[in-house]
Amino acid sequence: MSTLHPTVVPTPNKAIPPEEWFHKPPFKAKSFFIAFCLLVLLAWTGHNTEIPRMMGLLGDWGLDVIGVKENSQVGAGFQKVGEDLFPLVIADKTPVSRLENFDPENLPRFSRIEIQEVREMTMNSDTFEMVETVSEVEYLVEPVGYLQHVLKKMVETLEIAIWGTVISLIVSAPLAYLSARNYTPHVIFYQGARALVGMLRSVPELISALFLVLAFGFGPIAGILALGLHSAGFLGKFFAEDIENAEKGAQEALLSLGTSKPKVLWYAVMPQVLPSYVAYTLYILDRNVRMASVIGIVGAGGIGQELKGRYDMFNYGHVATILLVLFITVFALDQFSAQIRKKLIR
Amino acid sequence: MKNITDNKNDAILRFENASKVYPDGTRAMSDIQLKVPEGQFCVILGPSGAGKSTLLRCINGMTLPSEGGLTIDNLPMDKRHRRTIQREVAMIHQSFNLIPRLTVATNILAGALEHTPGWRAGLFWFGKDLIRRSRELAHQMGLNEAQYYRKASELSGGQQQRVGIARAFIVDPRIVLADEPVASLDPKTSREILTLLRGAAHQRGATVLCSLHQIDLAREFADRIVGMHAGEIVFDGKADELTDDMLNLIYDGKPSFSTDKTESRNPRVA
Repeated sequence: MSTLHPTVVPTPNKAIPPEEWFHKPPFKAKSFFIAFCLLVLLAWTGHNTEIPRMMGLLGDWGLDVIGVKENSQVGAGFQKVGEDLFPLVIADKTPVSRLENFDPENLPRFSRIEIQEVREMTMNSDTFEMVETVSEVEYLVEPVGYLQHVLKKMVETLEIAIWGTVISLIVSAPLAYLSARNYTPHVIFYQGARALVGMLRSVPELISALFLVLAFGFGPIAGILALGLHSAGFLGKFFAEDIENAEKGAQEALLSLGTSKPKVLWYAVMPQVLPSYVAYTLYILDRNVRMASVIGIVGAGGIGQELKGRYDMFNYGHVATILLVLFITVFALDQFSAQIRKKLIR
Repeated sequence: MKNITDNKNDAILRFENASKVYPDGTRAMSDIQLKVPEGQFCVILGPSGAGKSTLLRCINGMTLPSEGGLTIDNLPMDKRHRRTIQREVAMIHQSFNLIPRLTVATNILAGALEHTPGWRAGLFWFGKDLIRRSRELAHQMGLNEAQYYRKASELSGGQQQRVGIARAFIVDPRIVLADEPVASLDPKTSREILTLLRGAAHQRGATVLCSLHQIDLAREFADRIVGMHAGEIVFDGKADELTDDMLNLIYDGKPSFSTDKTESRNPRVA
């Protein structure tokens, strides 16, 4: 028997003594060479992207802050922005003359009428002299009117983000199934789905929103589609990778019973990957809220459209209100999804 | 494969000169000849890497022999008959291989997925008969109602293996394979699990092929012991025929301890 099956056990006297065992060094000459190459690459790209100038400006600003140097460009810029942003504008002030169907007896709740004197220099058409005329303009002031308007826009943004996420889920589920190597029905579907997922992921929302606005017009439709398609690419890739990497034990147990592949996917893979799917979806929702605010800038609805308008009119107080609402929303959403994740991944 | 039809009823499982060479060149099984009659509790012994798992994985179609034939219930195991055979063969795993996040109930019922139409399986909607059977099996395996509705991952190892056995038996398999079913369990639980497995198999007339590492348990439970070494069957007999010499043959590949002083003795069989 022993001649038929020679066991490969090295005898102790032939073995190399432990003090002569080769110990693999953590670094080799190659490691240093690679590090040097990376450094050269960084230096080159840093030169192209004006990193030295950034360092200079930041240094000037630092010196300005501690009072060694004056007139730093960055400091002045930030000071200007800070002065413009504050105080926040939360009230809405509209000239009564511009309101249609205005009824002074029946004002909206919490609002009041303010009368302001407006001084204007006008030219007297007879004497060609500049004359100061004083006129009284009635304003309808709603104390939190603008905040209400921003909140409404924020809700619209959230709605766009939620629907974008829903669409991405609907699109990515079949894509994930087709592009998971171990469950795809055929290699042609696998290649096709992977190509599609890559394509969806490679077009940023802002770019696709630009074109979708041309096709669907201004408003939320373009936003929802832009967000949905881009995040479908993300989710499709992550979902498929999770299916591929799922623990094999339970899958093999069901497969060996002759269970068909879709059933194995549904019973042995889905329960395993569901918590991470929820986590991905929450991340995508969070990301979509932020991106929905951005793509409004190209006219795809939501708070971004308002932001762009106010920014272009130099109403930085209004911009500050928008940014604050955005920040609070994103922060609240983050807390919310953290709670859900904690509950799910137990 | 020429004698598929002769001696029709004496063996449910038949390896004919079966060999398995994996694509990387590992020869896991060479020239296996094995006939297992229906209803037998057959234990396979052998050191790690002897080919026990490969043998079992051939029977449930997870891998096909590269040479020679394997017939199960007079059906040749090949790509065409694989699914048909797999419905008659159930497996119990060393690491239980349950679906951790689903309940014990669903885990047992998942064993009968091929007996449930796809759309109903998708909705986790099983037939009344199946549900009744799964409860009875769980009860027979010593699980109570509270455990039956818990997540599989919350159970202890012994309890999980009880679920594994229940899942294997829900479809009334002709053959049950057990790949080191008690390797990660303590001796007392191991004995309980094997008792349950043997009981369930005898009750239904199912054939069991069970690989083990515990020689005492093999002697206690087996109708027949098959010893493997380096991909070959080196022993095939009843429990009382398993002498120390035979154990040396199985675990060392030699009839007795060699006189080669440089090679250490194997304490497992000493």
